[in-house]
Amino acid sequence: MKQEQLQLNQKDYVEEQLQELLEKEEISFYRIIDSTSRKNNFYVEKEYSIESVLKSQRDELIVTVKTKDEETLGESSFTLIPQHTKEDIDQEIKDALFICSQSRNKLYNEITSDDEIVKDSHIDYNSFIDSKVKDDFNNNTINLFIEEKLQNFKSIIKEESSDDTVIRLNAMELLTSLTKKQLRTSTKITKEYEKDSAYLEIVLTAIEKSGKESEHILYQKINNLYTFNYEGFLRDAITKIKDALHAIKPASYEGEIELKGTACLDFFNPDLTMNAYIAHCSSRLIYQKLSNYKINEQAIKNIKKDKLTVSINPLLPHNNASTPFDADGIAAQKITLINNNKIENFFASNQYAQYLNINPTGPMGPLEIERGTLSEELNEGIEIHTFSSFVPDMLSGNFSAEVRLGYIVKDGKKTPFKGGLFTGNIFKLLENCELSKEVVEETGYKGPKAIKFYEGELVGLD
Amino acid sequence: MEDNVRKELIQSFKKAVTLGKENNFYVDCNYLSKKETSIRKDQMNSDIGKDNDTGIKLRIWDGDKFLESASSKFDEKTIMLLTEELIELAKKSSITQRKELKIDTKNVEKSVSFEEETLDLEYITKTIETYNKKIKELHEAVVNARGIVLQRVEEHIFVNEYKQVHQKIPNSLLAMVGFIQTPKGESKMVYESYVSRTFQENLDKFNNDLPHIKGKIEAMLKAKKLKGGKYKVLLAPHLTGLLAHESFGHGMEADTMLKNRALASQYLGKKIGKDFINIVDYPALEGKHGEFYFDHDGQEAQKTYLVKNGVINTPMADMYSKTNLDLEKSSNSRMEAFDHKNYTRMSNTYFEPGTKPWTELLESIDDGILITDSSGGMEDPKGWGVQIQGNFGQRIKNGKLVDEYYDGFTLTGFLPDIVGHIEDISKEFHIEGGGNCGKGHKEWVRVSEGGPYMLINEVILG
Repeated sequence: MKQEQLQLNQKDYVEEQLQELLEKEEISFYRIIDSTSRKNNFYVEKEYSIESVLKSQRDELIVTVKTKDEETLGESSFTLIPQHTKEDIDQEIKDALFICSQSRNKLYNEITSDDEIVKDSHIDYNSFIDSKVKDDFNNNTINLFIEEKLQNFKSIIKEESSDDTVIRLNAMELLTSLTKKQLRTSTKITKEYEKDSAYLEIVLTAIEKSGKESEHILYQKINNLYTFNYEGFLRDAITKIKDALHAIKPASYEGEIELKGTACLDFFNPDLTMNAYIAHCSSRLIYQKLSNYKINEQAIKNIKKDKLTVSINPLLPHNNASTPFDADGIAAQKITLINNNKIENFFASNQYAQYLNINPTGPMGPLEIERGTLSEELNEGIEIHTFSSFVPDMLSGNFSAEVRLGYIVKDGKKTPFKGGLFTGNIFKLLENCELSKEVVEETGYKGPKAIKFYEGELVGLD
Repeated sequence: MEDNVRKELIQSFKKAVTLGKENNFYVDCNYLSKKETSIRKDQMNSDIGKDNDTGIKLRIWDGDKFLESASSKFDEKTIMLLTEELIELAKKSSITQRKELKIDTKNVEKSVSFEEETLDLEYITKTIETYNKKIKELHEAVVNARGIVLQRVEEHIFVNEYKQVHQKIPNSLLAMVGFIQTPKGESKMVYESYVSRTFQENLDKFNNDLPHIKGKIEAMLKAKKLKGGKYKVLLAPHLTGLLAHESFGHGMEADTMLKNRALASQYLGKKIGKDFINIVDYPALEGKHGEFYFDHDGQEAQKTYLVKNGVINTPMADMYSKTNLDLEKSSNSRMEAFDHKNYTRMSNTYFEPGTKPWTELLESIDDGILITDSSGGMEDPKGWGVQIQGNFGQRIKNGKLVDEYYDGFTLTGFLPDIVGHIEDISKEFHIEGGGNCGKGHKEWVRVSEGGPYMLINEVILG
């Protein structure tokens, strides 16, 4: 390449340029997030053969600059990759200054290294990384673990298969990553952490002698690659896939509906959006007049049974969703949003905290929901274990989700079903519900293992 | 990417391919760059940012599987180092009988490049501000209005022994959102979104729609919960596109078939609907959200009939699936980003239009629902379930639209039942939508939504 390559000196060059602009007061603040992310991914197809193995390394600098006048503040971010040249960096900074002039918001003050909220002596940075995963990444030995797991899966599946019902692993993906992030700001905040994460997806098929087939997909963000209960995960999937072979089409139903397993997790912590009662605790939504929540008021009106106590806890050890600080450098802490159905706090970045005159809360992290009173199994009603996809409207709380696997319960006897729609409004359903005494911890969630709604509705296929 | 930099990168890629060949291995190289400027502006806040997701991926075929290496660095030294590592790894694979990859051996050296719109940020931000104000003034129930502009440029290079292709595709998305509050205190939103080559083109379309938005806000304020059950429906183009996508889109992905995860593989060549039903995937639709001219296996874009004259026809495929299922050409290999695996993915997937005006379809309905908006869907290729959620609809009585509205409901059912009940489709044909499609719950790629209006005699809503 003919252009001058910076690469190793790139980080110093960016910081020198930004420092110069700061001294000339052309910018009021800068932030650099220096990120390196490595992946080691394995893709397995049927008959336990590996389809592909992918290794990658992604290095990037995410730079934010801000300019301010007496009343407003402008902000712009851009991403630099190793291939960017000195000329590219100069152009990116020039563009960012122009964007700052176009993107003006109400003025707020920056967090500095002297602020109490950035102090992090309470945080154990080792709780975000497993040293064995790090070593295996460095030694290129993760594949040995995967190969061992595949052999384990093979023997469990063989053990669970019978002459009547054959179980097959149709696909598996195990994606592992190791990320290092460093935050540097013009206000002298310097912090860094390393984090490992993993994702497992398994697709199983059950085939009966008659040729009838059913499929079950399990996907899970794994908190700890080496201590995760793979066997329990697989055996649970096999039970479900065998049940799915005999699933019937459900009729419409109104009454007691209990969510268990991934359905319960999806309800509290949906994959693609936020649950409405959490979204309404967002300082951003409050500021934008999209939430009516007020401190000390009730989160759910007309509560008849269990009341919600909800916290955000980014310090849950070895939880994939945990993180030690936010983009402003504010240290993680557990914050209770809703206490016994009373709205206690809004989660807030530095910007929105100042707009609303409240304290910033740092990173969100996993949701922690207090256990409830439910301990008995459903005797009569509907139990739902898996949705196709649960995506509620985070503003209105309306939802309607197709059931992948559920059970019709009569006199304690369970009949599996597939299809139909669990429908309703989250705020309304939570008025009359019970949360289980038993709790689980998954990525992004620690809370009840089940939730029972007394006024649930299922639209059937009849 | 400047011409000289591109030429040098292609030369480095060619050296990698040659080194692979000298060692008797197939090697291919992808460069993928996704750059985005996002402008999000409402009446309280403004947020403008730039994102750059750029890197390379090299693959080697060891006779059984792909070994892949991705990096955000792509100087020649890095490329050759990664290639040497991959060759060493491939040599270590204990493959006794190498499987021949199914490669398209037609020599292609081609570049398709569209001119980028000069981004006038000042004009865009001022225009959004003006239109936010207009939306707010439409109705007292509007509490905030937001404009979202995503200006994107995707640049891609693929090199293997036979192909040396380059494409640069700019794309613009405009979404205008009105946040409303109902008299009961519920928060809801009304939105319109457009995709084309330029911001101005999208804005012109929004200008045409603006007079109708007040009516849409009033309709949303009146919207109530739909009673679950079977309905006769008229799907607007956006919904018809989603149905094509979630039904015989995902169901006809060859990598899903290879893993025994698609029921459609047992129905190839069988009739599943009326003669007028043709479902197509075609990437080379200019200005549409799923537009591309070469896939990430270097295959030139082509039209694939997934369903032809009501008969299940040809699956979409990527190189690995073509090799293992012995399939012919199809241009559907895509990766989310440079450090992701290639999967079989859709692009612009739609039902081909019919001959009747849509009003004729409307007039034929005694009692039914016109469904116009939706927030997304979920596939079930093995069980042939369908979920399309977050819909907005208007009642049809005696062939006329009446003042009765519903929101937040889901369309579901067993695919053969739904397709079997398709009664007619319109000659009007619109592809406006810009969605992102996941493979299950991850691997997001841009796709479009749209097609003709469609009359379905019986479908489950709830």
